[in-house]
Amino acid sequence: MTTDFTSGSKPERLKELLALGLEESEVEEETQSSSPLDLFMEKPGSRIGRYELKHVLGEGAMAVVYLAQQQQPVKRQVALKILKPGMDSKAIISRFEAERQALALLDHPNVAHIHDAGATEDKRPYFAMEYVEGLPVTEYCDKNRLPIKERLHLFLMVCRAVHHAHQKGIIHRDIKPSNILVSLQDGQPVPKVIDFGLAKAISGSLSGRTLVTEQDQLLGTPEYMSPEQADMANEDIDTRSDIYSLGALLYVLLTGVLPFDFETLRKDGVEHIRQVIRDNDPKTPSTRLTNLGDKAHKVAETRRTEVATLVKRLHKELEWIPLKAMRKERSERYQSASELAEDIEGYLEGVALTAGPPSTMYRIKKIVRRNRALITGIAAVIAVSIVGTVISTVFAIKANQQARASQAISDFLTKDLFASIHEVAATKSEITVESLLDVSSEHLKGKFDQEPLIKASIRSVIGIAYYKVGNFEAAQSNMKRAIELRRDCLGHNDFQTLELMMWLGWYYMQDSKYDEAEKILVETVDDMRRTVSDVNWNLLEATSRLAWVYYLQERFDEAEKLQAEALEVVQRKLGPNHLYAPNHMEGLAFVYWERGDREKALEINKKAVEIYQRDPDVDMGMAGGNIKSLAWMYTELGHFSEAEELYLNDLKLKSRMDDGEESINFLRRVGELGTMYRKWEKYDEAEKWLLKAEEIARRVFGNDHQITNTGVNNLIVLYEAWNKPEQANQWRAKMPEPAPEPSR
Amino acid sequence: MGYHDQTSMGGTAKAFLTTHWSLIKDITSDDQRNRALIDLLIQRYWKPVYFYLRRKGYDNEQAKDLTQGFFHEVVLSRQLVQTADPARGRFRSLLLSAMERYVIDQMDKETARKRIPKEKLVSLDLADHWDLPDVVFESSPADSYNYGWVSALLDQILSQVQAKCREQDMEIHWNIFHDRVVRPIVEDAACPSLSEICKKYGIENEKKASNMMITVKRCFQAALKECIRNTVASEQNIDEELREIMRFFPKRAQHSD
Repeated sequence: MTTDFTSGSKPERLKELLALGLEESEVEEETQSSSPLDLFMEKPGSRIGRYELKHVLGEGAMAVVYLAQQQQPVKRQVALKILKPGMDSKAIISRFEAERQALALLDHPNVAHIHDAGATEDKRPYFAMEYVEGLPVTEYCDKNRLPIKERLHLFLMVCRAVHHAHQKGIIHRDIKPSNILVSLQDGQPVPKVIDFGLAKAISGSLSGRTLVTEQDQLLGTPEYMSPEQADMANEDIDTRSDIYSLGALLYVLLTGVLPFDFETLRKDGVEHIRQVIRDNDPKTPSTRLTNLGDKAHKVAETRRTEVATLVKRLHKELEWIPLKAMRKERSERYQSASELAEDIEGYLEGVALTAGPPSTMYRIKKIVRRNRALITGIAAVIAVSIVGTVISTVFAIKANQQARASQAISDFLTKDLFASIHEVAATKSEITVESLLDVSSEHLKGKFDQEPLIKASIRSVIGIAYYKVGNFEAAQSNMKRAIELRRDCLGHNDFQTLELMMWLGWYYMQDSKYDEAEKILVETVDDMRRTVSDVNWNLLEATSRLAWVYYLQERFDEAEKLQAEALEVVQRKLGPNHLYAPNHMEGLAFVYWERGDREKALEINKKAVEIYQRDPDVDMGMAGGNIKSLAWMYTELGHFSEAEELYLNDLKLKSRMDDGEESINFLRRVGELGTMYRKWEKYDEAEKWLLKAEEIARRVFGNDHQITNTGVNNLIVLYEAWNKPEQANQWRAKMPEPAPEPSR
Repeated sequence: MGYHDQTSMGGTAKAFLTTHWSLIKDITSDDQRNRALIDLLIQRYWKPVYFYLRRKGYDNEQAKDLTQGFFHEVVLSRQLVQTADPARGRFRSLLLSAMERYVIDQMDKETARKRIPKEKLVSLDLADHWDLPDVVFESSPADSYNYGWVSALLDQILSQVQAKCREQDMEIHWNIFHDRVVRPIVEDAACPSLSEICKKYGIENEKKASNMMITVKRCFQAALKECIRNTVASEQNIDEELREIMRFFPKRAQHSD
């Protein structure tokens, strides 16, 4: 009789049930001869091939394991693993056969052997394996209250067994406590790794997919599954996948808890779990243990120690071993199980470990990786550069301030800034760094009101980030707020505050707000002169910036006076070719240029660049400004090949283009190079560079950005000069509004 | 699917009825065999046919009569199935086109007079105030038919799986599957946690409960695939059939988590 289960159910519900029933339809081919309704046919007492079934040892998601008696050719007990219906027997057996020769080479006291494989009458595959009467390794350790040291000794044996198999070309793919059984031999605990060779045969084309298709199986394995296994699309599994699982196992042996708390994560579905495996780093074992509360006592007790002692021991260095084994990037893990074993041995012998706390860059990459689904490629690059700036800022602050501040900023970055990605994603189709900053800036309101210095640090960090993405207005208001907060607490002579003021002046100047720029820079220079020596780099820089503001206001005498005085002090006190000099020489060169003394301008700027060229280790960030202004002067004077030489060789534009650089400064230089070629009437070259610059700008900064418009405008000017009005008009149509001036 | 032998059931499409005949092969008397086959077809396929007819505007009684009459006609005259386009290769579409023609025929006065008397029909037990799903009134007759088809298909598979579990003393396995999978989906109800399940059925740990559920789930999956295979004439038709069944459902119903 048919029972009515589904009447009245909504179509989408029926579809869900149908979809559940149709999962994995491709592995179903071989089971036709058996009834699809057979659950398990085998009952204790029945025979499978030469094995007589005794009783069920366990029921797994994929298989039932029986204790069985073999009579021929040898009399022995075996564990017989029979797969549940619904799998492709032929393929499984043939995959197993393919591995068989390799498996035969496995000869290690800590690896359980697989004796035989075959198919039941209804064609379900079975495997006859060495029967190991033991407990899963974690259970054994807890039951016997093994201290950390003894746990490590057991784990070492496991590593060596896995390494042995890896050397024979066999990857386990499913290392977890229930696949490592510990039994006593001559009174000594001996771990045995079981199921070597099975995962590949069973999963085969399914590799990694089990996570999705057998959702309910999530209880069992994903905790030990490497990110590359969790990634469905990835068929490329190597021995380092086992290293990851070993790391997870070690984590559990040490702390008594899993690296990820799947109990809570599971609620959000499979995709979420997969995401966590792929993108989240596990908390350090010591942190995890500290957060366990009462449970921590039990954990410590089963390790015959105190919570505090255990935490201390883990924190000191031991915990870096599982964390290194569990790195997301395979290349950052131990490269072999024996390397992992060596670090364990090293620890036991008190030798320095190869594992250690992750580097700053590692953490930055992690933040981006966690959000890579949302941050598109380019935004990710910008995000890395911003986070890089920010983190170095944080570290700089750390030197001066208490760790509390740097922690707060670091938290803000990871929790607020990058968490806001999701908020932005919900409302906007395109995620830009700027929109992230907007949201995180909102988040900051009302926070840290009792800790104005921390708030100021975060504001300044946001200000710098806004400047980097070209939002000058937001950069200014954040920086201004940061300065106010600091001044309220620290008064007017705090040097870091003065530094921020210098930056704020610079932001005003970039935004053509010369009066504001002048006001704050005058104040900065005055305050700095009172507090630091006259060859302090920051004071010189602030002075130079103030001079540039005068220059832009066409107050050339004042600009010249400031630059000349600064240059004189530098050369007198630090030497004529000191690297601080070119900055002021460039400023002077432009003053001469504007007054019409082009030869003198060129002369002094050439000398400035020569100072840099003398020093092979010079920082491009410093030298770049002088070189590009010299190149510009050459262009204006019609000395094109000299300009070309500077752009291509000294500024390395060609190789930077090949490297995929996409910064604003780089694009500006490329725009200048293209414009130089246009003036040189080398239109083909000009077109090549300008098109590329426009394409990068549009991709990186979006359609409405000033840098993109400049790129378009450069092309319009080029095509007009080239007498290609049609192309010029096509580009003109892409301009949102009246074109800005082309770059010089 | 290897059923391509010629039988008296007619054409390639015979395969479907042959499959159904094989289920009642123990019955020897022709008359009883016919009645048994009609009974089986009604049991399995009344939903799509009845839903289609209701959507066509027939009231409960009329639709019930026509459903019964239709299956008698299919088995006794075979005409309907024979003339339906066997090239389509799928029992679902075959039955639908047969019925479309049957309904047109019924409007013909001459045919109506020849109808089998009601008392001689294999009965269709259906409460008079049976609550029709809204979808039957919101969709086209063909979609109502398809909805009924899937609903009937799932009912049949679930019933088989349930019966098999009982037979193998695995009632608790079934109950877990029903509580954790079927009910939450079909009734859009909250899914009990594994720990609740363990408590309810006295199972020692969640992992075991989960494995028990998977055993039944795999069995359900295998049975469903097998059943769909049995409603198409060849392997090539399977994908087409699945695509078409899925297409009938609204897009938003995609498994989203």
